[in-house]
Amino acid sequence: MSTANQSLIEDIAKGNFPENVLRNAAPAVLYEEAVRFDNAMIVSSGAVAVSSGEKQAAAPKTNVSLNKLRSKTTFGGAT
Amino acid sequence: MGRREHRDGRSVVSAAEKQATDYLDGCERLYVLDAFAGWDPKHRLKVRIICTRAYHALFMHNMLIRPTNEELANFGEPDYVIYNAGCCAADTTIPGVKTGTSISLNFEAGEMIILGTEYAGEMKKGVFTIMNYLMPKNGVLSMHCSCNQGAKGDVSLFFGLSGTGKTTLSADPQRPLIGDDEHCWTENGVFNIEGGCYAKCINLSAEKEAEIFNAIRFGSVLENTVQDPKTREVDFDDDSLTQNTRCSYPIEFIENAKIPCTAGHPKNIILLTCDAFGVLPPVSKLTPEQAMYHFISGYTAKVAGTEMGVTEPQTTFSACFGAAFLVWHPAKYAELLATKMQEYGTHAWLVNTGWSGGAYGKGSRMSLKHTRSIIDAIHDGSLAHSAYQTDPIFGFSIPTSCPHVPSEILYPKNAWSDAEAYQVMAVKLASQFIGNFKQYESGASDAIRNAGPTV
Repeated sequence: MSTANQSLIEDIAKGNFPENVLRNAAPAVLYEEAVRFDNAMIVSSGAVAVSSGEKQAAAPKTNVSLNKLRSKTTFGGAT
Repeated sequence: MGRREHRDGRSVVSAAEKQATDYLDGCERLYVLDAFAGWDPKHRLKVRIICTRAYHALFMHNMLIRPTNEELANFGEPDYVIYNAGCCAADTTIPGVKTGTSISLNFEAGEMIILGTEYAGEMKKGVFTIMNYLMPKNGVLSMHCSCNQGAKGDVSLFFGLSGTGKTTLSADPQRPLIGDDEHCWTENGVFNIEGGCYAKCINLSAEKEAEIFNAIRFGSVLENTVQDPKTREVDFDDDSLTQNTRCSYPIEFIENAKIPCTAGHPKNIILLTCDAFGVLPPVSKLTPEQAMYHFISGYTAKVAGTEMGVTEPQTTFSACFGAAFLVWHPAKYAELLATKMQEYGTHAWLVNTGWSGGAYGKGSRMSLKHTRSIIDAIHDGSLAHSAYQTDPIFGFSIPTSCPHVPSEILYPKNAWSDAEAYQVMAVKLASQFIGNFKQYESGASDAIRNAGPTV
């Protein structure tokens, strides 16, 4: 484990996971993280309840960009 | 319709990527989740999620296929990386980015960038879109459908838009569940893309949907539900945050799930539609060409809810029953479907779970009991042996009898009290099919074009 890079993303890309990057944490750990840092609530059945904030459904298609350079075909004559 | 490819897609993606990675680099804590998409080892993708919210990591832990410790140790380079910077609004000065929400997929670089939305479903949808891009290149059909398997190993696929019964009808105590939402059809059969489910939970109850209700336990993630602050009991009827309350859980939380989530070649394909005009028969048999036509059309109707004065249902067409996730022309998916159906002798059925004996407001809603009897008759082979008559407008074959279903509702014209009114409505619906299909005509073969209704 190294934190030599300034960039967490670069570290992750190289397969280094510093202490503040949790890789494949167990559900129990993610529960604790969600409660501590993410306003999560554990409900009576044992599930964890969270809010997704302002957006509560899929974004409209106009907010989606696709980039597939080698292929010219687009779906349905997109404009 | 479908996802847009901006003319400047390349610059949108790279600018969004820079913004997202800068944001993630500035965070004090990050979560990484490495897992697989696709239960077939030959076709599975290695997916990495990098996110700032613990629940997003747990969500994808549930939705993807969880690696063993050994698989995780040898994971190596992921095929796709999802950078979820959803807490950070997209920079609208980037050309092509019009609002604070931006989702971009860079297939070449193997990246997905999320900005300005924390809705966890975006990650799941992104993985499906990637599969819709990659799979057809290798002759594999990716499909927005549910799947189950009978005792004799016979496999059924259920296609259908929201509200048509895709989840309800695939949850069958007699038939183990392969998956409820996303599958691929390869040379070896069907595999589920996902390792979990993302179920709607509005008005959920133990009585109505026991399987889902019982899956909401330790490890499951509830999104935007409301719970009692003291007892922490979930009020599934509370839609004060959204109607779209959701729960994600690993598929093994469903008792009747078949693990691993793979199956043989489908014997039956069931296209579900909720026809609020009462025109389509409760069940009809489709030729491979008709199956392609109806698959490309992706028809259902939406019924006006509680809105005052609105009584007219609205037609909805969504290509391949999932236009929002397609990458290629719908004909590409439809041709793969037809090729595979012909190769493996798959039967296709159009099942109307909507209205019978008249349109919404006049006729009656098809009973779930009758629809289940129809599905059972498809599965036990009795429907395939019925006598049939051809529908003069739509051209498909309507069975004259089906066990446990009254014969008079099988042929819609007979079910309506006014045969002329039926004719008018049928022509109206057929015209809408024809109008919708015009956009696909250039990419569709003569065989598909001729398999539609004629008026």
